[in-house]
Amino acid sequence: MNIFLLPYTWLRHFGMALWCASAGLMAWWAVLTGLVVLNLDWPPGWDGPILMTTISVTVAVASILGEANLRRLPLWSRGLKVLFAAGISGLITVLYYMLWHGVMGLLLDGSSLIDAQDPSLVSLSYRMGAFGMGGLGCGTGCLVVRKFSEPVSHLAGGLAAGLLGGVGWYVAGLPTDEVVFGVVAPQKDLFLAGATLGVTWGFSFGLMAWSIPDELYVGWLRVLTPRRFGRRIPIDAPDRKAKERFVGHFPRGLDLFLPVEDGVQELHLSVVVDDRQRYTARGLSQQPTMVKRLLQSVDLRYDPRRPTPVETPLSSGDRIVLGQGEQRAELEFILLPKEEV
Amino acid sequence: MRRWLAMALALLLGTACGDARYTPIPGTTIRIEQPIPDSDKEYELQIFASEEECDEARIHPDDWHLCLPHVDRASGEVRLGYRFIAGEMHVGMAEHEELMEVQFQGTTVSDGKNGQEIKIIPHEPFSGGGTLYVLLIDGSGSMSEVDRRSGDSRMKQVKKALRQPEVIDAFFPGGDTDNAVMLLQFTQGKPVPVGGRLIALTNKNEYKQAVRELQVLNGYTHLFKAIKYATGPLLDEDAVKAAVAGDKRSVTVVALTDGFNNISAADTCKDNVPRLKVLLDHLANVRESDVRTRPTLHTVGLGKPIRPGFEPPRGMEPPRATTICGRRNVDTRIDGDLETRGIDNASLRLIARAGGGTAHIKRGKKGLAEAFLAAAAPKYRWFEVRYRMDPFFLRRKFKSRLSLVGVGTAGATIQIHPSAWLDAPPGRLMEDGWHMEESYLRTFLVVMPLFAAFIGLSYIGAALHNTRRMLFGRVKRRAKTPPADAGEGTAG
Repeated sequence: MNIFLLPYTWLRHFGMALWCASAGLMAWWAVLTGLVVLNLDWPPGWDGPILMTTISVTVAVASILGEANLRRLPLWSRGLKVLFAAGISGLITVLYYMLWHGVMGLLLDGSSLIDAQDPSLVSLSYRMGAFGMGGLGCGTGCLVVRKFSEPVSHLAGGLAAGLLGGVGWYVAGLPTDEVVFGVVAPQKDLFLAGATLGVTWGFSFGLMAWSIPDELYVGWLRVLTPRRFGRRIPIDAPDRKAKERFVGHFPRGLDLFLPVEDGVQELHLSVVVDDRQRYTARGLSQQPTMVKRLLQSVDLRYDPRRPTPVETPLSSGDRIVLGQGEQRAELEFILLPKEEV
Repeated sequence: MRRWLAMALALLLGTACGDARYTPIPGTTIRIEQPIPDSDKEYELQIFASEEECDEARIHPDDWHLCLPHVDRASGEVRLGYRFIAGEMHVGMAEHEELMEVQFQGTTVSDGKNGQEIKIIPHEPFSGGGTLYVLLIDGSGSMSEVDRRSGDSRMKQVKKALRQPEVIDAFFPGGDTDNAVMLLQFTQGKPVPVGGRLIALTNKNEYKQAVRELQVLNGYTHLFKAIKYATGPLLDEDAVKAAVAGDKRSVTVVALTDGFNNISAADTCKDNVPRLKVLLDHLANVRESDVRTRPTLHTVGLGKPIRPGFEPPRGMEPPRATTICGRRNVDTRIDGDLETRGIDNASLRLIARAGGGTAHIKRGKKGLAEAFLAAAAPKYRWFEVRYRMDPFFLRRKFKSRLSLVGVGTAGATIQIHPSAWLDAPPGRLMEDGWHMEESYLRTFLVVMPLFAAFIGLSYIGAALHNTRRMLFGRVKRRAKTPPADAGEGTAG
């Protein structure tokens, strides 16, 4: 996970999903290798807890480590967080798993109980709870390490990831030649079912439990017109407090100078960032000032009859055109990784 | 609840020392419980459960994957390796696919039913000891009848079949196998040795010479008495005792006839029923003797079966006239009537079953040679049984049971625990239509492309972002005018 590979687009959220999917895949592979190649000797009843715990721990570690990498935390801090995440998610997954099976033991009886307790029975109905508990353990581990921030997305995301993993596992291994929902042609393959479990679980968890926060990015104004092309200024203050940056041709004191030849007024535009990292453009001049984005143009020219300047929220990729015709300057607003500051 | 708590605690303590009840099978995700052989059977059927057992059975390490249990849940195939033990001794066994019953969860697996299939594959010829083959050839007058197709008499066909090189090789395979053959003929009364003296033929030349001396002796066919003699008093003869050499050679009796048991001219088919019962009782007693020294009895019928499609009834109920002869033939005379129409295949089947062998009803020299070859089939050290089920049934723990009947009784049950969560790569389809386990390296075919795809996809966001900026002119300068430098901001 590297913040420079995750530009501020909606696709950035898939970065963590792919990272966690790789971790889920590796977790399945590790358990399979332990069983098939290393011939590790544990009773059949432990297959479920061991696989659930391994995937849960690995995906939780991937999520925490991924975040730590994005934040460029010191190595010792990354190590501590990883250990903490692994320990918590592992313990909680085992506890949830046992708790679930304890409840199953109380709720079921007769042949249903025998089926539920058969560690060799390939069944979604009796395993669904185990998948859910595994996902919940994974989410809980991350939630604790992230100091209980975003509890709903962690717990619900974890639960959903585990359940989706279970559905993927079941569909990939369905013992039928029928096409499910007209889309999926199952492989009747319990080998690929395990891989599907790890990948689906990890991908869903990475996508749902924790999104890459805006605080890892900083807004910039960048000049696009030939004169002063490529000049750029950060909007955010180093302490992330509210800040306003000014653009104009006044030679002193402004944050970004643009030549008057390009139709820029002495004090033409300002861009504000508040303490919740929302960016806003304010038109300070009566000269043409436009914010352009896909299928939308916002005229920010100052209206003297109004008590306040006209403003519009900015999002990454917006263009700001100052002046018009031959005499005009063009800026872009772009969110770049904070590391670039 | 307490049980689950205990299990949780055990797990938390990390006592990953396994459970002695289960044995993990290398290369698979299955565990097995120790197979349980039937204790009340003649042989102990040992299903191999670990590499140590395969090693102990002196199976080459290259074949251990065939020796160990294997379950391929993608194709629904189960494979088990086994061998037979009598007392403390490992014994060889001839091919016995028709005599082995395989049960899956208490249901018999039937070849061809609901996609089910069974195959038993023998491994490594058994070289311990040898076999004394007692060939009991019908010498009655009917053996002089000439076959219209070949122009040979029945006796000549038998002689030609016995002189076939592959038959001779089957009786005398050489190597460590020390076989011998005794050739006897029967008509009325006690069977007589060919050449007048009861001798064990131990080489091919002696054998060929003895076969040449086979001839039609005339008289009625006292088949049942001859078989009773060959499986009873004959074994007490000094020459036979010497040929058996303690229990170094096992005894296999092959009785060949071209008709019916016929004591007198007035015999009808139903007259044979009480005589057959006496013989079957005798053979039942023989089967109860020591498994290492008792004879195995095969029957060969030369001609057309009088009851085609006859299947012996289940169990050991006494034979009935309608079963043996068919309703229309119960009171039909044998001599000159039934005998001219065919052979008593029903009695031959029952006799062979009671004698622990198989019955072969054949016509012509080639068919007879096949029958002798089957009777002289080599013994093997160990076997693998493969059976195919609907894969759906292999998705929970299951019991597999093997039961041998006929040549001896043996049985064993094994409980197999496949993993519900994980499976090794599915097997590779071989030319014989069965699947062989795939190497673990096949997992790389799944892991590596997926991993590579994830890495590749993780660059997609950055690549698309930069491409879009390039296409919309955000990256490249639009004119060559050099930028004025006013001090603030950074170039980028």
